[in-house]
Amino acid sequence: MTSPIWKAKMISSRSPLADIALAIATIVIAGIFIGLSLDLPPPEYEPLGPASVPVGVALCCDGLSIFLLVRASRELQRTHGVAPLVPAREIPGRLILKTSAVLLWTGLYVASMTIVRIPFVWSTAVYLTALSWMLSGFRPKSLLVSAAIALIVAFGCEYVFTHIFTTNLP
Amino acid sequence: MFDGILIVLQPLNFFWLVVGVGSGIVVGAIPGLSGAMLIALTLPMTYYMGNIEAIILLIGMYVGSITGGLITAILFSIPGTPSSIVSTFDGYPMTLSGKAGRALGLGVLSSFVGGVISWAFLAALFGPMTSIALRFSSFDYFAMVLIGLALISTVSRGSTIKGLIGAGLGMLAAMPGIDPTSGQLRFQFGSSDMLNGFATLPTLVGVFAVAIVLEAIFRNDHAISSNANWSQKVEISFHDLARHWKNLLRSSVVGTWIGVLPGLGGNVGSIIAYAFARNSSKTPEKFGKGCEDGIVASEAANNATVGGALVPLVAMGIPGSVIDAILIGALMIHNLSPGPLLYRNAPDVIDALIASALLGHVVMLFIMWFGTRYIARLVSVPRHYLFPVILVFCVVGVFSSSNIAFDLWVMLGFAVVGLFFSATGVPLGPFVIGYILAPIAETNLRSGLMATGGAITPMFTHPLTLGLLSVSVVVLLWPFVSNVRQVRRAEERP
Repeated sequence: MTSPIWKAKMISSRSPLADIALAIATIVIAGIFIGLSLDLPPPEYEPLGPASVPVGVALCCDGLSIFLLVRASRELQRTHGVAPLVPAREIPGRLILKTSAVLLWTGLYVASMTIVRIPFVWSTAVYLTALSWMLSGFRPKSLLVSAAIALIVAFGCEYVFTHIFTTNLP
Repeated sequence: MFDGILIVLQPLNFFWLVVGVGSGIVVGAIPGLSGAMLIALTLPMTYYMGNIEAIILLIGMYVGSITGGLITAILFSIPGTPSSIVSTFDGYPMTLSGKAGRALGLGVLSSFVGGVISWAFLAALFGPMTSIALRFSSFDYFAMVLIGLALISTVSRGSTIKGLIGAGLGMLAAMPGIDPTSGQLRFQFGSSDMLNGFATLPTLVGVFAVAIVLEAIFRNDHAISSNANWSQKVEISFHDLARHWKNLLRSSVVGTWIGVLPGLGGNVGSIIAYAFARNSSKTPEKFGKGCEDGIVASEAANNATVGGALVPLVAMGIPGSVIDAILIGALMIHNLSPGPLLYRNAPDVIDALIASALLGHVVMLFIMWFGTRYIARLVSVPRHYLFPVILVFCVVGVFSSSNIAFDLWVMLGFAVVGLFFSATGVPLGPFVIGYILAPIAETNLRSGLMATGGAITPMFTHPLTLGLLSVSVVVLLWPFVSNVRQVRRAEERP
């Protein structure tokens, strides 16, 4: 454990909690692929078959993730579990909330057109207005501008895509 | 070659080239947006264009986006694209000393020269390399893919381990759907929507466009206030060609060869060229304080990577950079199979691609010469208007190419993946290159084993294959060996 090779490999993780999250996610994803590969038929006309390469890649991912997990755990032990999620920077909760809200709002926008079947123009106009206004910090002055831009983009896209490109919109 | 130039100079095709270069410059100039994002976003729009028009537009965007980053790099010390990071070292100090116009002029001229020199390499090399690639065996292709994955994983930002994990996850993301060799359905997760796996377009748009917008919101990027003091014109002087010819030539060659190496891109080229320029300068202490040689080296090299990166793309169908990986997606969308046979099957497309790499730089020169002061003002568009519009174009673009609602959810899913990678320090480049190269790697490995009756020893006895495999192993192990040596040296110091 004291050889230079081990020490070099164990260069400290700068964000151990993030590394642990990444390692666990990768192990889970790779494990799913390995599990599903067990249902694939064995090779018939060639040596490898449809399962070998995915299993090989998944096992490599697992190996790398275990290494990352061990490295991050040692760093956490070394710092007695007080390592920040992202080094040298605190993440304000409001930024996490804002990003999640944008993602959720975009998901609702997609769902409104594909599941609820609200026409593209109105879904887009509402989506753009609300999102622009939210990102501006709910400033009253930007609401009108956001709405104007939203209507131009919504109607403009509808015209361009349906009349010029003649494609379908969601 | 001249056929290609004539094709690009046709009015409609030239129009698309100008649109591509112009939009690439604007997007490249805006920090937080990138050429990869623009090209990924435009892919669905090109679905309804002809093959040649689409390629010309996308190559124009490629050229423009690499160059556009120098505007904000020099004026505000904020690189518009990673390839312009090094230009901030000397460009911004020149702006502070009132020489913004001079700095921009040097950057634009260097970009032009770098692009033209790399185009010359591209035009000269793609034919011989295509002939060589046609003689590659399946195992040789597999080894080339490994080199690309190893390179991109080791030189991307963040640790090598995370780069390799990103590449591995990208390869796994390409596996669902129909097995390319046996036709067997696999990894459908019980859903009929997954018959064709995760489609290329929504994956690329999700990871490169939606995720990057979300990340910019997460980092709380604000619009840059326009530099009200800058009202100079871009000062381009062709005397600089004589004054800086050695640096221009050296940096362009460095950039071209860095671009040829699969997986690397403009930022690596500009860093290495800058280091060479400083090491061979008689006044290295001036670098980083407004030295003209620094801007020349950085900008010549990063534009030279464009032509260099197109060499393996055209000759072998292997991406020379992340943007080239997306261009491979564009070729596939237009039913063009990337590889050495592409020139035989669609010579006009390849001729147009190569000619666009040259004429794109000519168009760039004129747009930047006369339009930089206006583009600099565009950069100050408030993000809260820009980002939602980009997201709408992502949704519209992905849906219009396939008419499948499931693809929109795939796009959002990969946006979450991209955001997760950003939060955990995994670079996106390896993920995308792993996703694009996985089918090529798997097909060639399995074809090779079928041809040898299951024997793997030819991989280690054939000189070329063994050589390529050795290169990939060296590239992968080098960061670890380097770390061990650093630790030993630190221990040996008293």
